[in-house]
Amino acid sequence: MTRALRASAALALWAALCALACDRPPGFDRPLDAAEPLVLDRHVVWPLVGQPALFTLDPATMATRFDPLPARPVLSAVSPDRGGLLVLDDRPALSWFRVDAAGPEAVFEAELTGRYGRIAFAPDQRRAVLFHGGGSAGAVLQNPNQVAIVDLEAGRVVERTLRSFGDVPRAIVVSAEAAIAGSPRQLAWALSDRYLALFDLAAPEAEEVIVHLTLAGDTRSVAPTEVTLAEAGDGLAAFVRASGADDIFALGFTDGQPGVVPRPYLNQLPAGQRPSDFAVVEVEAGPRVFAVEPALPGVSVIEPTTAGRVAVTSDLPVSEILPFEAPREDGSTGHFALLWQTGAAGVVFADLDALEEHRGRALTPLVIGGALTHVRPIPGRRAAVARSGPSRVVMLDFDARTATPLDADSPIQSLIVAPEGDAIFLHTELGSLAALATDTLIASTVPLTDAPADVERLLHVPGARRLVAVLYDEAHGRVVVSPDAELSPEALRRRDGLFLDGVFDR
Amino acid sequence: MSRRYLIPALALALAACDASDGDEGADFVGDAGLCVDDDGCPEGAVCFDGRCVFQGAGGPGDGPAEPGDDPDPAPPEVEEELAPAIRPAAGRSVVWVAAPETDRVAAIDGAALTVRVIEVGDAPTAVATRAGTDVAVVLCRGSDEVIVVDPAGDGVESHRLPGHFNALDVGPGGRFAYAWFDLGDLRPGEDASAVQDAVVLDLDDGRQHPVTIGFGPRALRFAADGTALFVTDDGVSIIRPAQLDGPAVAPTVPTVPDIFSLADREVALSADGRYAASRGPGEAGITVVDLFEGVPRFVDLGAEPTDLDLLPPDPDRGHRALVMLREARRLALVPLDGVGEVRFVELGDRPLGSAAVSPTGDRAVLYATRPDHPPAAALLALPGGAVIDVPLRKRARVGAIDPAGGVAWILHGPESPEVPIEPPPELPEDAGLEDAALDPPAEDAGVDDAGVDDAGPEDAAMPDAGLDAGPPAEPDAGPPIATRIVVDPDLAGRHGYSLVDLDTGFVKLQTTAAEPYGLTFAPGAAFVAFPRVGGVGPALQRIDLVRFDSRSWLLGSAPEALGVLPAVDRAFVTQDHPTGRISFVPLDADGRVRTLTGYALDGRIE
Repeated sequence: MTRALRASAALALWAALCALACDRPPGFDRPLDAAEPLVLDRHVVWPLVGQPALFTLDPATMATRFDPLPARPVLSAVSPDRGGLLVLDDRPALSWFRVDAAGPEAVFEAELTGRYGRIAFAPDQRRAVLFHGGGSAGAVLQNPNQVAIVDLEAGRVVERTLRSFGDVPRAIVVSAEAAIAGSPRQLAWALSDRYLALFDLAAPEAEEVIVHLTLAGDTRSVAPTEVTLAEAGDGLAAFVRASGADDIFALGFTDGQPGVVPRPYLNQLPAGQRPSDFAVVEVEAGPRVFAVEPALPGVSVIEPTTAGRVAVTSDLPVSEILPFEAPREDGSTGHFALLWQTGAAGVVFADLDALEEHRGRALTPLVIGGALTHVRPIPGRRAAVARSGPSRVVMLDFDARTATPLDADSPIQSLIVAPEGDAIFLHTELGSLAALATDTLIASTVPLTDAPADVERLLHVPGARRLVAVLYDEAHGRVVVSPDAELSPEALRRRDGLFLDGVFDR
Repeated sequence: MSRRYLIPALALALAACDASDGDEGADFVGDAGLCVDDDGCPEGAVCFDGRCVFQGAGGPGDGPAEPGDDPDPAPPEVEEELAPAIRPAAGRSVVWVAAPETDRVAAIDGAALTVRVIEVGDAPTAVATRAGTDVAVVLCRGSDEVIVVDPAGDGVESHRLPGHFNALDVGPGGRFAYAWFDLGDLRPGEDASAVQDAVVLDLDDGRQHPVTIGFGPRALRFAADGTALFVTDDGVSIIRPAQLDGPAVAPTVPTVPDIFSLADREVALSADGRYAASRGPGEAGITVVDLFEGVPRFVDLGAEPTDLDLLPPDPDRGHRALVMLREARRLALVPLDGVGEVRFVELGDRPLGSAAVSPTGDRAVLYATRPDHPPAAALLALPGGAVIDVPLRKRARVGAIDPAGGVAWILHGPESPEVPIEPPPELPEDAGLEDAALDPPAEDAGVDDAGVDDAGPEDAAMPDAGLDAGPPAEPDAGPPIATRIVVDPDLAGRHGYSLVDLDTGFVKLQTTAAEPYGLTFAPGAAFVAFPRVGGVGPALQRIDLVRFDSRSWLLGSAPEALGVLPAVDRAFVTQDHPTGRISFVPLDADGRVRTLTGYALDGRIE
């Protein structure tokens, strides 16, 4: 073949390839733009905003899935049981997925009229509330008081606007379904500055009840920050703590009509000065509200029926309360709490059953050494793990009232407590991964990467019994997967270009 | 008592007298027996309501003071009010509190501690309840209407008034409500055109009856038959509501012949609404008027009354008034119906100017409020008129008797433990108070001018406070004694109250850290409230009128008003709090205080 003929053939081949490239799906030209990963029970899911799609990894088998979405995902949330995934897209619409062993399976879709920035699930994940939550949701004109009440079982959505009195819902708390005011209800509380909006997810069209926390003309900021539903002697009551208020607001319910949001009556329980945290515990003497008062410092024991208050001073600064149960010497179950504050040098153990009568004698301070940064309970165990300094972890044993320090080789970047409470996982600045058995305090460790700064976040997938380290700076996904026990280099699985798995089959 | 029992009783009395050691520590009542009069009692004892009560030797009954002596320079009696100015309305089991800022009233269930807030008219300011029910009758001052609210029902019943009123009462039968204008509660710029108007609202059928009454009504009282009696500056305006049929002018009976001296009088009305008695400044007697006849008549008593109370009607003696005549050291029992004569009971040297009468009418506690005199109080037995002293440890300010008529409650306050001593009788007249080095002004020193002028040791003797008169001043004996201790210095500066058993005369002093107020009686008990003083209180206290002990509950803020909910056996106290606070305690003190705070916010739950 002459040279000219070879040149012509090459040119034709090149032209053919170019033609093929021009006809490829446009998706090849868009970035993946993966959002933050979501941890489900057995999977890790990345919403791919650029595609749009859901990319699922099963860390146990390293199998992946690519599920296209009808529109660009803007907000995703995992249900409390880690078995469901709610995705809002920019149509706007929502998609509800149940995630089984194979991955997410679509249950239903529903179009929306509003754009929402926050999702609040009911504890039983049968319902959810979408709300604005502040910030921009991308609409030209938006109604920040609009909410969407989603019945995830029935696949029904009710959108409505809550009455506003100068603010918007900053948070929404959903209570467990319970018999309240004579009927089964699932109450949701929309928290705004100076008022609450109470509505019933079981009766989504019923008009909400507004509970003002200040008198008309009172311009103070009293922003509810915490709502707890508990038994208070006369039935279920909601206890509300608000910033800017010295009282805990107790909202009780009398009889109401089915399908109508019950109207509560209010009682302000004196809680000292600006309580920072509280818990409602049924102790031996009956239900009590334990409100932590940093200004004291100490804790107030409040009887909700009489509003009687006993203030108990602690020797250490406290601003948080963590109640738990533990056996007593006589075998009975006692009610206790851990009181602590970020930056304090120790924690305080409180015997809640004895606090009202014995006061200071019911508090036992425990100096840990170093400033506490945070404390997290260990589920299923009467223990907690605390951070004290950049490289130190302290194990708190509530039974023995001990604090055992554990030092890492370098500053700890993240710390995860397993849902079962049997282990604690952490990774350090030097790139090491550690798994600590909470019962024996024996750790196994493994270096994750050669470049310690690579690890963006550490995830624990409990159902798969895997740890997934998500690495930085990789648009196509880069992870290192390890079993969550008996760590070893041989068991590590590294995957670069994760999101390109099966790209030619899409 | 028959003669058959007199001699044995006397023998017993004498035996008791012999058995005593004769010192002042003997039992106050003693174990003396029955008697008919003082002669039937041993020396030092007084026959009080059929029993001999030891009063000590040289008792105060020696020689009555002569009426008509020079005017007593002592300060006038000050009659204090024990009732609080504002009182929430108490039904059977519900307390009603008006929240004018939210145009609502709150119905607070004393048993369940729940709140129900009901929207009414503009600015509800007065709430009353229909007798024996929890139904509230609300005066809305901003919208000039009366709202009737039944907490068991769903709706409210509105009655627009023909004028602007600021006071509301409901008659004892619960059928009629009265809206009227209290000049004492006039606000700046407020419409006061109804100053002589009242509206009688029939709560059964909603009919309104405008009634013209006397000028400046300042109180509304009810007779047992439901007759409404307005105490006004023109006299007593009488309204018989069942007889009303449209607008009317209430007959107004003057309470004194001189129509220009109707103001500033103390007016007392009999429970049956038949009689009125009044006293005024500078008048040496009282004026009595039969409201049916309408003709006031002055009863000269020879001295200016310092207190006036009406006794319950007696089947034998009819209607009577008890009038204290401090200057004359006596009291007068004045028949109101003109039957019988005025009867005087001599009080000796007792400077008693105030009285409280039991609801049964068989006892009265007499007391002195003079700050310049030792504590003094006495019990009066009626109808006999016997008087016995009771040992108060502190000066009285005001007294009240519980509805059962068994116990008197006397309020005390902080006081000086000393009084200026009166000059000894040996001093020559012209020695004057200067030689005795008394602090000026002499007229305020409580010196008994009669005692000095008449110069007799027995006349100069002080009442049996067990204190000596002190030595006469001698120029060479150093500075003379100018004062003497009449109240224990440790007790003088304290607040407190005394409980007096009206049968035995036994007195218990209870000191308190703060002044008790809001006295409210309940069966077998009384409740008072205390503000915060220093690090103590505020508190609510239950006083057991049988055991004479007390129990206190700490409150979260300053108490305002007290009341009783009979249907749920609770007492309540409202407290000062921006969003409203009310506490409930069991009447029998067996239990804890239950507090509800924020009921004003309940009005903002929508």
